[in-house]
Amino acid sequence: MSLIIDVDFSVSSDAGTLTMRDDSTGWGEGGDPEKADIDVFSLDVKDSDGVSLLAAPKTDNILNDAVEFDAVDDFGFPSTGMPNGIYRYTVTYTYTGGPWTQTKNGTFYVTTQLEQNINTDLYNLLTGVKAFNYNLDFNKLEEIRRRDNLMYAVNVAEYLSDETTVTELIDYLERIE
Amino acid sequence: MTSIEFDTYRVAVYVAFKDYASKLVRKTKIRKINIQDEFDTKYWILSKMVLIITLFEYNDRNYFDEDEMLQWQDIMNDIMGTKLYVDFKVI
Repeated sequence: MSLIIDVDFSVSSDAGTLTMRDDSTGWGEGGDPEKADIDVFSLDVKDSDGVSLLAAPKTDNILNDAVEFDAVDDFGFPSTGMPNGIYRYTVTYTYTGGPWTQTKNGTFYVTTQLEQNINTDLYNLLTGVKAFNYNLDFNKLEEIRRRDNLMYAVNVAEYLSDETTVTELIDYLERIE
Repeated sequence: MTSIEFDTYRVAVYVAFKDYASKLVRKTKIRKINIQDEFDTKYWILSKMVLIITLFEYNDRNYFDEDEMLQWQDIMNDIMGTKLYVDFKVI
């Protein structure tokens, strides 16, 4: 039986913390990941230019658990947090009781700040007026809506793993912010 | 409010949203007026609000604080003509 590596990445609302959640299955007694004799995993994260962000691969034993990375301390980003963009990861699981190792490469996307800006702009617009139908700046509303539609396009492209489209859309969104 | 009660609230939000959309469609048919722009705009806003409110995870990925979340609810209730509230402080 082999291990099916399943990891998911999410970024906190302030873009300061990256959380990696592990839902891997298999490679254990009856496929039970809790019983898998995996001793350690290592993670490497690179930016879109292929530059490794971690000084050394992060190692821990977090099978079916989560581990947090600090944007400043672990990745060396400024206090504004992880920039929007595409990140590539390599995660490797090692079983020290034997020769088995298994590696998975993948991508995840950070659009936290863009999404937050859209939501905040809409919130400020709607709370700035006391009633929806009166005194609402519909031009501003349409501008926010257009950006939100682009954000939706990013999410769809991300789901389809279309890296080029995601990059282009993020670049475009950042230009019109 | 328990997580189960919050799930009930989420269902209530979706039901209210469905009722609101149905009324808007009936309004179009009865009055023979074009409310497509109104429908599209409100539908988009409400979709965002429903998403923000129902995906609210305390101390996790949340863009707004408690007071702001209550403001989101007020806006949603204002547009839909409902009175749906959840106490975000104790989820």
